[in-house]
Amino acid sequence: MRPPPDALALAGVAVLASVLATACVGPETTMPGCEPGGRLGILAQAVPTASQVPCIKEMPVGWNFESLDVDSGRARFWLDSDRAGLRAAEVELSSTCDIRGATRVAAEEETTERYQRLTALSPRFVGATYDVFEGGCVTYRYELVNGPHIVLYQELHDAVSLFPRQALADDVRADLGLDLDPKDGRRR
Amino acid sequence: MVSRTGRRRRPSGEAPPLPHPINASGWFSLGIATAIALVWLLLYLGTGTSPFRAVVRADMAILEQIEQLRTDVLTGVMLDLHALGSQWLVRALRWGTLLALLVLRRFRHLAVFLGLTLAVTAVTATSSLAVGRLRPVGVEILGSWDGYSHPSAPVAALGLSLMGALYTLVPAGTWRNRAKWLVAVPVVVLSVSRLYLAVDHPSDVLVGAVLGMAVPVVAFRVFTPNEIFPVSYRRGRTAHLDIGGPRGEAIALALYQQLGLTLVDVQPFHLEGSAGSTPLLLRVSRGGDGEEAQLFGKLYARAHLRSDRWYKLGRAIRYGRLEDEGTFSSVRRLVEYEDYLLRVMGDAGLPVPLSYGFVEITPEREYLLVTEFLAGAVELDAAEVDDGVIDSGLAVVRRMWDTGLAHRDLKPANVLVRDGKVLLIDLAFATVRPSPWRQAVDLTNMMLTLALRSSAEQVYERALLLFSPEDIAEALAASRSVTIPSQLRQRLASDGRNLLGRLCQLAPRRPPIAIQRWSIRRIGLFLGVLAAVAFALGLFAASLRTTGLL
Repeated sequence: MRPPPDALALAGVAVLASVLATACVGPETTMPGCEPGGRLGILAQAVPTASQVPCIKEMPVGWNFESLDVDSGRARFWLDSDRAGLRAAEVELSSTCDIRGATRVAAEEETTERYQRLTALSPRFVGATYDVFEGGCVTYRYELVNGPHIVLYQELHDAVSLFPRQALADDVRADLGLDLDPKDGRRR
Repeated sequence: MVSRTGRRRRPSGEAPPLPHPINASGWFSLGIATAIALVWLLLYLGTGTSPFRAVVRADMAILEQIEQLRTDVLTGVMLDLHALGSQWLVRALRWGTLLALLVLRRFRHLAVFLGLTLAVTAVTATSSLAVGRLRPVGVEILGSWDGYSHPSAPVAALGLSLMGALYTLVPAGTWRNRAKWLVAVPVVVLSVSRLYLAVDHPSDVLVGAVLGMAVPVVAFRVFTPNEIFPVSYRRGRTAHLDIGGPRGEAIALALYQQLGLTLVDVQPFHLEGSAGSTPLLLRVSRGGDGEEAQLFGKLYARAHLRSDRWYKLGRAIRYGRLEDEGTFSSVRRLVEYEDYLLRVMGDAGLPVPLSYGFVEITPEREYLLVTEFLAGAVELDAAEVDDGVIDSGLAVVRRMWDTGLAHRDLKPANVLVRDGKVLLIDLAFATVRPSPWRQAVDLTNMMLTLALRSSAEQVYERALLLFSPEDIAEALAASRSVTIPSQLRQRLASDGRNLLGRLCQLAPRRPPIAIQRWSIRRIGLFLGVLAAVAFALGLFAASLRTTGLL
């Protein structure tokens, strides 16, 4: 008689299968696209005061999503470019940002104010752009090692957009019947 | 000869002496693995479906109840307790365990601990990305957090670190059972604090705890079973099977049913001299008259099979084609082989113990080889060695040469003397139709073993009665330090006389025989091992970083 199957070995196989299954998860899985859902909602939770959160509207050709780092207080993600280099751009959501020394420029949306601080133009294009809005701020840091700098700069700002918190809250309520944010009276 | 009665064929469907069924903890392990898989599947694929909503609502209902309990004082306490999930604490625990295992030279436990830490960390991280679950909504999150909510990485990390220390450093039994409760306390406290602070959902904490605590239990049971790799602080070899409890009863049952022998007593025998099996002294009663007799038993299990494989891999790499031989595919084949060699050598007229065959303890897992116990025999080290003993020992080698056999592990511990005659034991490495080189090495090792208790001159002189000077010269030319068993090598070193050198002086001069034989297989094995070592080192370095140890 053959011995019965070893339950412990089977459990080990189950764990191994889980490892293999989850190993298929790549960084793009966490990319916060401009659509309601958990991938974007977690950014809103990182900065509970922010009325808008950054998202990837459409990834331009030559750009790739590198990774997302989100914790209580801020959320950051990085983009790679085949021309501008790895981690050519960093996008950070925080409750406030330091815009001292930055120049106000035209904003893409009425609800935000945009500031810009350039620290180098050539050979590298280095600087930061700030989108300031109610309860939060999105900082775009970029260091573009190769050109064409202006094209790449424009592609970056076209790729990243701002998504209203209210739309995320509406989605959570519709999906789960729950509020995204706590009611003020329940804060302690 | 021991007479036997009571043999009985095990009917189809009846359990073997020591069954290996899926026990309660096995089912439990399987259950939790399935449950986790289902939860992940639900969270990953089920967004928007009723079961998914039910899980989320159940989680939130619990958190809302907990939220009602919040007070300023309690919140302060929970924020302090939340520090149990700190990366620094986890790092300290893991480094402490790692260093302790290095100091204790418990490398198998160390490898399992690192591998497990790497696997659980990878599963936790990737499942977190795959599920991408929000932190609790609708309640104020009071504590700090990092990344997605499911599963709870800090709970898994703390649980894994504590369970790793528990299963690698605390001996099984009462101490470990007590320590399990102790280990559970910080994990439960951290879980409660994270729920109170609404950092995690209850299902996140639950899955984190399972990954951190239940999975290590399963892994350590599979890869470091306590009966084979016990955590012990006593001196001596630990790779021997415990022969008490169910295994002791199974041995008695198997001996009675399969060999018709009634076991009176079983004791470990010379454990320090054996690494390839668990040697036993069996006292059995004879069938008819009830008279007692002693037998020798060698208990073989899967761990011994693995040892044999590693040993042969090492030999193939060290020697090459000369020692080219296959490994055993199962424990059954291993014990069958030794039983076969005992019978072949016995048939060839060599002085080896009589084999009574072997019994099955657990099919394909454990077998007991039963042989005559050579009562009154002493190891060569303790025997008076005169010309008669030397002649007897050399005649054994002559007989092996003539019958196409080799022992391959001739050393003082495997050469016994009784009534002035040499007896050979431990035929696990013996072979039929060996290479001429291997037969030559057998002669050198027997000569050296005998010379340890006499002199090189005396042994050489007696050897000339059975072997030509050219045979002896060939044997000595074929020998090197690596061809001499380690026990014999140690005895030669402590003896002080250069016995091998003296024998070489006595024999006709002959250039050394190259013992290195190169083959594609050997090169492949060598490169394979090299790649495996490099991979293991890389994995080790990666695991230190991935698991937060660096």
